[in-house]
Amino acid sequence: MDVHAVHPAAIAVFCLLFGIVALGGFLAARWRRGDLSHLNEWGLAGRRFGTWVTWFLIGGDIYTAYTFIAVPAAMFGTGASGFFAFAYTTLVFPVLFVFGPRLWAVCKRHGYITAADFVRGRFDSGSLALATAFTGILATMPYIGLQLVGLKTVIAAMGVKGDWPVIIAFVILAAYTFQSGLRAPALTAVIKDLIIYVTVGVAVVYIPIKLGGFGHIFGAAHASLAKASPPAVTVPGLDSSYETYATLALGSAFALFLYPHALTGALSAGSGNTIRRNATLLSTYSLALGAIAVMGYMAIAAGLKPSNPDFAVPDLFIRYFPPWFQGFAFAAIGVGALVPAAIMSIAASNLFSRNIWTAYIRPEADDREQTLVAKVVSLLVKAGALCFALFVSTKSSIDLQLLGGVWILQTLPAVFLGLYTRWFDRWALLCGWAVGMGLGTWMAASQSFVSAYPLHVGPVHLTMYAAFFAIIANLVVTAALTPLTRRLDPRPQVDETSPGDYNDLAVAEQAVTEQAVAA
Amino acid sequence: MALNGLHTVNGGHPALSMAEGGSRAQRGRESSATGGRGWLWLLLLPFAALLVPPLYAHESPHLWGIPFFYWYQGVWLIITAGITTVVYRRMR
Repeated sequence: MDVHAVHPAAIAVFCLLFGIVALGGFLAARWRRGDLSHLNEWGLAGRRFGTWVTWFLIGGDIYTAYTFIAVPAAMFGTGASGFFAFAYTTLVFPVLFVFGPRLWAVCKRHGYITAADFVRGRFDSGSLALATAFTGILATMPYIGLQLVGLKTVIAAMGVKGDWPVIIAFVILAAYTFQSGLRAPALTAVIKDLIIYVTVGVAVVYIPIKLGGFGHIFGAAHASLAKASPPAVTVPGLDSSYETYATLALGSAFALFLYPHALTGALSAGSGNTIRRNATLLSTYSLALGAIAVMGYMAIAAGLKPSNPDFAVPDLFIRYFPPWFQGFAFAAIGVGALVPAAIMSIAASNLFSRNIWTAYIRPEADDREQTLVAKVVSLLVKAGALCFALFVSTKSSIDLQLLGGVWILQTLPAVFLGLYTRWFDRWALLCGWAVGMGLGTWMAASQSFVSAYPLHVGPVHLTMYAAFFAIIANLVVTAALTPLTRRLDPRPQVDETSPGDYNDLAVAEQAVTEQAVAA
Repeated sequence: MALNGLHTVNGGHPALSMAEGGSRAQRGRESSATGGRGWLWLLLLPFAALLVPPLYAHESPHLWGIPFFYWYQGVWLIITAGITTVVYRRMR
């Protein structure tokens, strides 16, 4: 049951900001003009984004509406274990720094649009590329659905009932993404993030003052969580939660930049150094995430009893902010749903168009047709996500998103390790992937979709992130089978990349030289 | 346990890149183009610091009323940003 009153001032400010963003999305087609009938332009915005646009784009991409609702909700409900999200968003930057520029270089050199394109070129295997593309699409779909859950939450918090506002928002989103491609989320991300930083800045200073300081907030959370059922803590104690915390942080850090939407953000950068600079600059978003996480405790200290933990932050804003600023803050979360949803649908469409349509259905498809297919599929993906959000329970969406993380990590051997070695055999990689997918799904399902799985082998008891067990199994199978499958399929595994293609500085230089020759 | 995981997943890069199979000359050219690859090892520090929660799962000392567990991780976010900056400057 929803008990939120209607706030006209909040709704007015929300709609105003939403309108500005929608307008920006449509106008984005004219920004840094390119021929939008090419997939490189529609789906990667011509790979020309500089440091700042990339910062907004990747930031808008990985810190989503759902993050801003779910992380504080986890802190509100389960205490310290929810804070792994902060450790994970710290560790993701060294990962991006090391793998990002290398993947960018080889993709730029060979005109790859997706990670699956790279896998096909590197390992000479259509099946492995298909598995990579399939995993990417599968993991992305529920993620888009969850953005809608975030959007629904803030709309409900303003007292608006029914599904129609979400449907309208998504039709607008679908229209401007169709028209402008990746330029739309890049431009609207700028607006989104300005709103988010103002909101977080105000909330993190003003609310603690009202609540009597951080000491009081953490003290109240500590006392209240101890009495919750099951009891929770604000600082992990001497129990089995350490390895869960660590493997969740590690597994999630490696999974994030395997997601198609995060890779699309990185591949649209203008150079490898743009990505390296962003590995430093993006930490400001993690700082904001840490502040937002602690808002879960602020909601406890304020004595809020939301109908559902997802309302912890919205209810906190309603308690402490005047209606017009509530609208502003909710717009931050609402627009925070649109930006990643756009990038995710573009990334999923790129995968479908390149690695399923062109690879299997119409090999003769030219660039123009590939782009048209991607644009149409981006509409279908969003329609699918909308049905998902309207007809599937929020619980199932969250379960599927959790599985998405387990699944996407299984592409690590082919994509991230593939950047460093071609020693693995394609069929062994495929077997490892299948084992990881199966084991991870089974582990998560057997625990009714909690991310940690308790493993008991003899005297050893380890409760770790299911994706972590799955990727270990995947790597072991891949390495063990490589000598065997290579003998079974002696056809040469032709690698179309060469070692120099992974050096981003050399690739950028070569691209400039080729352009000069062409001119 | 967590640290072992780290070494299997992240620690193997230099060895793996040797398996690349490029000629010695090619490898030499690659490393001179990217400058000091050795600096990349610094990027393992945040993993060592954050993947062993017993190191920092403590209530005190507090900072502005915030338990050590939280501000330690916050400080490591800032240190990590510093490390990536240093590595970027050195490799450029």
